[in-house]
Amino acid sequence: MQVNGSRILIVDDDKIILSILTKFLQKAGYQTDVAETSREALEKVKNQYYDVAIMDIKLPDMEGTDLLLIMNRTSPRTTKIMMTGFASKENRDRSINRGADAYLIKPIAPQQLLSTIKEKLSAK
Amino acid sequence: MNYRLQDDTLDHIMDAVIAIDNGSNITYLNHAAAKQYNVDVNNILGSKLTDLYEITWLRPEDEQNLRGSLEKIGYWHGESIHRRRGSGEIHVESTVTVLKSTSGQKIGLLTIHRDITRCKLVEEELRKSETRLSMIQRAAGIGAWDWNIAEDTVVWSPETYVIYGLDPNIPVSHEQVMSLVHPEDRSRITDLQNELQMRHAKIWKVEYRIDHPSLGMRWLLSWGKVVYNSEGDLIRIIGVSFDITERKNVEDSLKNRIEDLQTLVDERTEQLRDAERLAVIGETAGMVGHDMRNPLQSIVIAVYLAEEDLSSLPDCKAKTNLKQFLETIDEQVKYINKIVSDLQDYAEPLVLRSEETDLKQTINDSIRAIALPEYIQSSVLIEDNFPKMTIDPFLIKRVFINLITNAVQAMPKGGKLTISASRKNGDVLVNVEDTGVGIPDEHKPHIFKPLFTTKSKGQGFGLAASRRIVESYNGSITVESEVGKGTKFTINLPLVKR
Repeated sequence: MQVNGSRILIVDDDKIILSILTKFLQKAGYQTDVAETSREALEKVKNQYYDVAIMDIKLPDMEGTDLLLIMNRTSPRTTKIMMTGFASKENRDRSINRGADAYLIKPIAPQQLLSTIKEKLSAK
Repeated sequence: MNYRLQDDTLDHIMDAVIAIDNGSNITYLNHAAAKQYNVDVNNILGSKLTDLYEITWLRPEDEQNLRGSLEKIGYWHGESIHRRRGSGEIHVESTVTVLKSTSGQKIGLLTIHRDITRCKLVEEELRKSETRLSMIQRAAGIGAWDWNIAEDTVVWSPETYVIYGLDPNIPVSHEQVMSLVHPEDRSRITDLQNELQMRHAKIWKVEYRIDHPSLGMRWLLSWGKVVYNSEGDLIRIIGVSFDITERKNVEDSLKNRIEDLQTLVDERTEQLRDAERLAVIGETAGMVGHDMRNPLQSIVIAVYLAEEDLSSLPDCKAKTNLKQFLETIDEQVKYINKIVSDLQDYAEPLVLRSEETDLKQTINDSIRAIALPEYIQSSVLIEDNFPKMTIDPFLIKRVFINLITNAVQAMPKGGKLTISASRKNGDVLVNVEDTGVGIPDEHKPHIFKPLFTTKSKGQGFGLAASRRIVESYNGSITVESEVGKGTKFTINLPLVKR
């Protein structure tokens, strides 16, 4: 799997996170797209294949872990990375059990985010 | 004339008087005798004595005694049973005197018989009744007593002696009873006595301890009726005593149990209150954590991007300054993140992992993670072949980081940090010792409580979380500290979780 040029969908209701992650990932060589809600994310994955989806857990219309379940069906080949500020055992267990490829706690060091994405993409 | 007077006199006597000659023929009997043996005076004279009654001796030797006594002193006194002709038995008390002629020759016997049958029955009833009462007292463990205050005498029933453990053959005095009473309880008895004298109450009731010769300390209840004379003076108290030691013991243990329960309830209430408070804190911490971590994430990436952009600029003073500013931001973000992590750590239930952990390496990692200032001199005194512990290296590292951070903050002017480990039975003892400012005594009971802090920068979760982690491995954490000298935390952990 080619890392550079891979397409990443960022799902987060925090606009600043969306904007800064977009800049950061684009600078690292990825193509990015954003969604502020689960509904928006599901719309996007219908029309576009994404290599990676980075999903917040606390979303306005749906839990990120529920979005993860749906994405498992709609986009089985997409690498799914959960990223949350609400570090609870429940969130972690549910994410792992529902097939997330990675579970990261905000704030994650930029280098670590890049290496996680790279590692998970190479594993595919 | 003389004879008639005697006859009249004898006829008025209530006792049976009978005279017989040497051949046991009746020569005289008075009215009382005729009535007692249910015969006619005129018809019976001349008859044999055995026509009146037959004797049953109370003791076999009595008949012999009678003969001997009459021969020796001419007189006998004693009791016997008369089986009367036709009218049943009577119990008699008799006097027998030898009758002699003027020349001194024995001419017969004069016998006087008093019917004591009723007396004997009453006596027997009384004896039975006393036996019954005594048996009841013995069975119930109740001792009766009669304290005559006016005459200063004390009379006890046998059971009372048993209760006090005294010899029933030796009479007691009130003074002696008081000497057996526990010194602390004596005033209770004299006070009650004085109070009764003043109030003229009818009931005596007091509990006190005695020193029982063989059973030791016993509790007695003394309960009685009070008697006053016409002047209103307390003259006598009659009542019963019984041993209530068992009841007192049960009362005492109940009282202790109730006190224990009360303490337990207080403790549990306190714990519940704490738990409730912490649950609220936990919830808040979760929300705050989430809300703070999003902006933190943005800052971290923004700083990273800024540093990258900055590095592509030509070197100048401003670039150096900016680089330093960004480093400061980065450092402070890490600190904010630590606070958030502590809060969430505390709020989150602990999930224990256990793996073989090298203690020395974990401690060295912890020191590196903090980046000790230069003015702190540190030494880790652990042998290289120290056994591996089965524990979560991440959690135990958090404990060391907390303790080392505290130690560093306690030594703002520099000092020595010493971490040592030793083994004791199946446990590992780790000491984290500093030469810092020390903990004042009034703070010591609180330092492990959540939200307790003396730092201007701190939330008071470090030690609380550390204790929680250590205790979850069935270990303990203790502190010794002296203001101005330093502080030593001791962690006691089982080598393998029990």
